[in-house]
Amino acid sequence: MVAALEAHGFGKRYRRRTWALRGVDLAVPEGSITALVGPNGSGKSTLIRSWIGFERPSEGSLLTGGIDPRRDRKGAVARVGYVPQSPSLYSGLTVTDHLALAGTLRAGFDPDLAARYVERLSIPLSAAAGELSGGEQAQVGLSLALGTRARILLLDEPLASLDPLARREFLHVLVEAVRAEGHTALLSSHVITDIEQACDRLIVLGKGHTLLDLSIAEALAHHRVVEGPVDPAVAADRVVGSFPSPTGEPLTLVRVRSAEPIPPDGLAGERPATLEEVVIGHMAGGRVRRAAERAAAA
Amino acid sequence: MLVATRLTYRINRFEILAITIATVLSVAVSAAVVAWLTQSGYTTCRGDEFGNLEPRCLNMSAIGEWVLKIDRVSLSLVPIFPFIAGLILGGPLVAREIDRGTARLAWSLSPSRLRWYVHRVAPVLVVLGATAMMIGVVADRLLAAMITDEDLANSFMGFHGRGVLIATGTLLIGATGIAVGAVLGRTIQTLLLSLVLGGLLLTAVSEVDQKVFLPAETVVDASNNYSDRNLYIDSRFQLPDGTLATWEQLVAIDPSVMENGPNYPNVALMIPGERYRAVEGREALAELGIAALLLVAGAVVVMRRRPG
Repeated sequence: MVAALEAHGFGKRYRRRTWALRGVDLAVPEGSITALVGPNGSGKSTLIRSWIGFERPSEGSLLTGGIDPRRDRKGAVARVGYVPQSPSLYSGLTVTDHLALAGTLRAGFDPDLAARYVERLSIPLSAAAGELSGGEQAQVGLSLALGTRARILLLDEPLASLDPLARREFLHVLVEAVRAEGHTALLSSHVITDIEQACDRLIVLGKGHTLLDLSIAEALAHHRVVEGPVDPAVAADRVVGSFPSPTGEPLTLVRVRSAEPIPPDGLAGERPATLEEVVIGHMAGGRVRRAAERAAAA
Repeated sequence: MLVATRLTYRINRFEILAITIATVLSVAVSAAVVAWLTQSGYTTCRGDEFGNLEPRCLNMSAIGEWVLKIDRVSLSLVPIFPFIAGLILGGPLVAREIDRGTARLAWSLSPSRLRWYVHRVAPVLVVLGATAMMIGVVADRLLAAMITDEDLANSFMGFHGRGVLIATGTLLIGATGIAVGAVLGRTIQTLLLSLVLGGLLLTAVSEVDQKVFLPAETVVDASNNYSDRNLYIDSRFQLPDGTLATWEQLVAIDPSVMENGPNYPNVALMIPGERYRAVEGREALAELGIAALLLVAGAVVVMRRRPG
């Protein structure tokens, strides 16, 4: 596997105290669309911003398209198309102005390509950015990132401000562009249903650590959910985390070795897990481990 | 570069328009004032021993007083132009982009942040320099129209309030705003800190000039004929052997002056008006140098900092 983005023992500490991330080892395969998921404060934005050189690692190293952004930020930025977390367009400029602006800042920026994506998303080129909705601004941001023709796309929670239809359109454009051009995309998001359809790989971050790093297919095949309580004495080594269902019933995410049918000696109430359950189970497990670590440290 | 300049003007159009319109209005009003004063010769009107104006001036005295009032008010406002224009145009230039997150987008698109910085800063500096130079020239003309018998090229009248020092002072305040904005990344805080820091820097240039460079050029003036055209630095007592002493030194030499008063001539230390252009040029160069350093510092910060 050739990795487009790599993290080796990466750690980021703010104000010499708080570690946003620590000991992160990751590799995002070239040509993949990878979802980066985790609770607020888990370090998703920090990791993405570090790959583009906006943050300096406190420890470990990163590679962006084979380039260390700490040593060669220009090189890293030149390899990346980035969609920031909050819409950050110039409110007084039109969409066309933004395409022109990108052209002045980036050699090789393709304004025609970006304009085609904007028009496909039914956004008027003459509209001022300040008049666009948050979702439309995110879509313009995506079009600008695609217009760079960068091999790597970093998307920092672009779906947060989009309505369901706009989200679909956004993901459709993204997936199509990535597949057509052979790009690599890393998409951080909370919206797991959309991730399942658009992404082929899943990374779960929890409180500064990597909790899961698998393909979507592997993530689904290697986890199951047990409805009802689980006896820790029977399956302690399999339990990932416990969490309530939307109606309040206790659910437990457990690991399995493969996608084989549920064995006869399986736990009572064991069934295939949804991707959302896999993610939530790992987040819950991460939270419990974190609390245990804190208690031990205290 | 043309597209980048056009976009920079559009991004900062409110500030640029405000300063440009204010400058154009000032120039228009000042031109009218100068034209009227020059053509009417009102400033040469003199009164007789009873204060009565000569006949040719009587019918224009009402309007003349108003025009002179506009002239004086305009001249008194000129020294604050560098602060207003410098802060309004320079302060938000980088700070607001970091504050609002637009720098994040721009810096992710541009492998060279220096290019982005130059695209933003250069057009605004051109506007700042041009408008401030116009205001400086206008101040020169307004003063010249009011004081017709003075050669302002050889006079310290209105020192720091006219000519090229208005332009360089404006650029210094603007550069302060840009550099502070790059560090803080917050617009309001940048405006406040730049106001203080810019004022301190302008004062420091003048103070350093007076303390370090001007003493070597000081002339002793024993004539007691005070003139606005010279720049008075200090006064001393002249001892019989010709040496100069401060009051404290005089008391140490001759304690009787405490009771009898100083019985020595008081002389002025001053820079003659003929040195005006040299002093003005030196301070202007110092202000430009500091502005350039601040702009370089701003560029270094932009290249190294997080986009907020």
